[in-house]
Amino acid sequence: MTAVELLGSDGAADPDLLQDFTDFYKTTVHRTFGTAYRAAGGDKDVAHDATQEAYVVMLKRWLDNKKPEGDACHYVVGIAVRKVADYYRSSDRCVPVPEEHDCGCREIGYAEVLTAMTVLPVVRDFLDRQPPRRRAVGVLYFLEEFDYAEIAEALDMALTTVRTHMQRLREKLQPLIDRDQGGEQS
Amino acid sequence: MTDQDDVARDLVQRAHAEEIRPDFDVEAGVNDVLARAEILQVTGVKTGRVDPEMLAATDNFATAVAAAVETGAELIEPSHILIALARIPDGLTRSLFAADGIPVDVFVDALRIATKPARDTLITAFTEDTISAATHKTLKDLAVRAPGRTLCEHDILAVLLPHLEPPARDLLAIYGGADLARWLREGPTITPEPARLFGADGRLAVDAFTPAARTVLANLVTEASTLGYRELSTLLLLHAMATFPQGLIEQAALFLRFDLHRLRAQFLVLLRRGHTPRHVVETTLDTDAVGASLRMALERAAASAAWRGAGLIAERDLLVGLLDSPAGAAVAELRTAGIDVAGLRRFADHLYTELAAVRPTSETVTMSFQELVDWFRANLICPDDVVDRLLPRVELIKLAAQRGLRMGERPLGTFLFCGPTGTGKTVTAGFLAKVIYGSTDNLIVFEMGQFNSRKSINKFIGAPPGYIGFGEGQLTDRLRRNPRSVLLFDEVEKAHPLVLDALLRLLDEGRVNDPAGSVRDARDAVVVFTSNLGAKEFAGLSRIRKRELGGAVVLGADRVDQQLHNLLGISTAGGAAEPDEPTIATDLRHVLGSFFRPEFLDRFDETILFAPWGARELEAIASAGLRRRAEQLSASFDVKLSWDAEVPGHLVRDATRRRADEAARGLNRCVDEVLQLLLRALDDTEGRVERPKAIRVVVRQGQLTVARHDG
Repeated sequence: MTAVELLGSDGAADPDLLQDFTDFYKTTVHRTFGTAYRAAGGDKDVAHDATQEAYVVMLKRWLDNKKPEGDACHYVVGIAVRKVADYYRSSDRCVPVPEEHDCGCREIGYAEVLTAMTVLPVVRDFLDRQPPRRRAVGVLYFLEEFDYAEIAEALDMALTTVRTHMQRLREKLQPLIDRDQGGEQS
Repeated sequence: MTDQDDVARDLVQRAHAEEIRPDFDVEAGVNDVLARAEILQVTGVKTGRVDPEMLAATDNFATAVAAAVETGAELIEPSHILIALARIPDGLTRSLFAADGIPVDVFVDALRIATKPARDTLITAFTEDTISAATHKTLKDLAVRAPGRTLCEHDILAVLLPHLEPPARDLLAIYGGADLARWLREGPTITPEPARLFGADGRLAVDAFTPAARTVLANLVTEASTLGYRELSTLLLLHAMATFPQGLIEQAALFLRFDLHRLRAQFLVLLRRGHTPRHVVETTLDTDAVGASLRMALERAAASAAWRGAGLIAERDLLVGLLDSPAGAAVAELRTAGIDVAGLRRFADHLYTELAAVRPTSETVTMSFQELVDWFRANLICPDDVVDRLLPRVELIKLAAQRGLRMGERPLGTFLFCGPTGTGKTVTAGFLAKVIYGSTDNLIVFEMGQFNSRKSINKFIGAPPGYIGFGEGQLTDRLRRNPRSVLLFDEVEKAHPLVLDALLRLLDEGRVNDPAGSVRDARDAVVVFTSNLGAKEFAGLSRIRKRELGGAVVLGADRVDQQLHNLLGISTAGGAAEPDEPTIATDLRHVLGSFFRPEFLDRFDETILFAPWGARELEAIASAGLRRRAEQLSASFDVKLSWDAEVPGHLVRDATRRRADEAARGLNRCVDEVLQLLLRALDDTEGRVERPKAIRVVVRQGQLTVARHDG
């Protein structure tokens, strides 16, 4: 059954399919929103919009019976993060580049004063302060456990770019990991 | 690598899980997704909600796509859907067009002329990416309209007409004479009501504008007064928008890459063409002053704001008002300047965001020069010599600025204020800004102590490409934002010589090279240097000599040495002088000469040496300080403050005794001590007796005390 037939002159879409989709939405939306929220660096509105738009795309596929193979939630999350990255790509043009776009995680002397309790907010803060595209890569890799090829496909970037972004993220995350591990040992 | 990644993942996931995120309303979310999807269905060919006959007649709105291509638009606008509807044979829209005698093809032709054709239209289908924001809104409204029944042509028309973009609406309503309200009457849709522009008193209702738009209007009045226009026109509005720092036009210039300076210069030329400026013009924003063309533009701006559903008229609405004016003067001027008007409009519609209000719009007060002089004398506590020396130069600058005359390739005025700390150098610069440019906001202060190293030149004029600080020079940036201002370089002797070299070109040629590219023009600015050079020398002057000098020693730029000799009592002919003074004069000259190179010193129009205050000025300062405190008290606690006549004198004596080195600042600190007494007095009465309504400061037995003065 195609979309044209589904939404044809008789009007409504297949109620079963819609019900399926609604159930899918209700079970997965919190996760998708959470990831989009992180990818948007804590911007609620952008995350909300990206999430909704991702589900709209999903709904179209759903009604066309072109549900992605494998984990559907995985697919929605990919679209949502892509929408977030696209949003920044289109809107960043008109805003001045922040002074510290490619920021570190305040390595020097900072690790010493961290306690295990404060590592986690710092990790979030670290991610939030990354440039949008890199943040999107990081979120997909660390939170959603995408592999490089999947990230490259979801965000429409070259595999090598994904690798570079990941390399940078790893380097800068390392002091925090060390600190975290140290905190657990002591 | 993988193990390490697992650790990293674990850490990030823990951090993510621990976070408290905002709530997500799942139920509302589902409906939202369905509504959004429905919009897509309407735009994407098939839907069960739209009347199938109409879909067939419009070939699933492919005719709207065709209309967009036909008018040369870049995006599908509501008017294109309207054209598609009007082309349905025997349709409702067609009959409405026919009833008002508007041939659809003529409307299409007119629309094509009204919108600048895009170079290459890429619209091939009705999709989310090819519809404009207005069309998107229309479809969104359509999706929620009359749930549960099929949408007919009238439903579409009812949501379409309020969203119709200004050129199309004007074509229909103004040129075609169509009664759009009648078109809508059958359906219960609310037509947006534009805001009322003029109040009952005939003044423009500035409350109807956003802060940025208000700043533009204030700018409009200031520019009109400066250029000597009594009647405000659209061209003046365009000029005001172009000169609004960080406003729409300035941001668009960065985005669309047009030369803003050239544009501003061009507007100035146009505004001065065939116009003899009056000496002083008082311009206000009322019905008399707003010309017919501007009034129409403002009305269009209001209509545009209402059409957008925005409460206030924003800067982008002002632009729409200007661009849609039937005479098209603004469009013509912009096109002459080589600006892509359609691009500008697109920028304003989709990309521009107004800055948050930086400052409230201040009422511009236009004073005649004599009033300004009186105000200057009355408010600036300063020896008369200084005022007398400054005023002729200020008058020259003011008159030249009013007529757009420049002093050749150099700033309008350059001053060097020397003297010990606390003698009013910085305050005088603030007053200059007020007199010359109308507001103390036009004073840009640079603490030159910050630029004391070789590297600080990067901070001052910006770093070369590739280095941190590129494009962020303080001088160049602020000069770009507001070229019409007093640039105050405070305590210039503390700056690094390299920084001074950059200033040399500013003084000499009236421009500064920005490593980020353009040359910043300072020919409309006034440059003031202040310096503590000479402070030490003055400290050595005998008390008698100080009194004789009375306040200020004024030096002509070109004859520093000679003037120094004259004023310090050394005749150039070698006449007799007090034995200690040649040393002082020589020292002073030596200090100035050793710090500033001769070519630097020669470039100042006036070099003014501020001497320590006399008793009379100090008393005036004390009185002014007390007046400030009185205003503060009355505003904060509703307490009236008064003082005996001898209080300022007492404060001066107190300050001279205890804070001799701090000059006026020390005196102000002594005034602050009075505040301490007052607050203590208020504290003591708190809760026990009725709070005093009035307090008087008196001197008793050589001490300042405060007393209730309710009677």
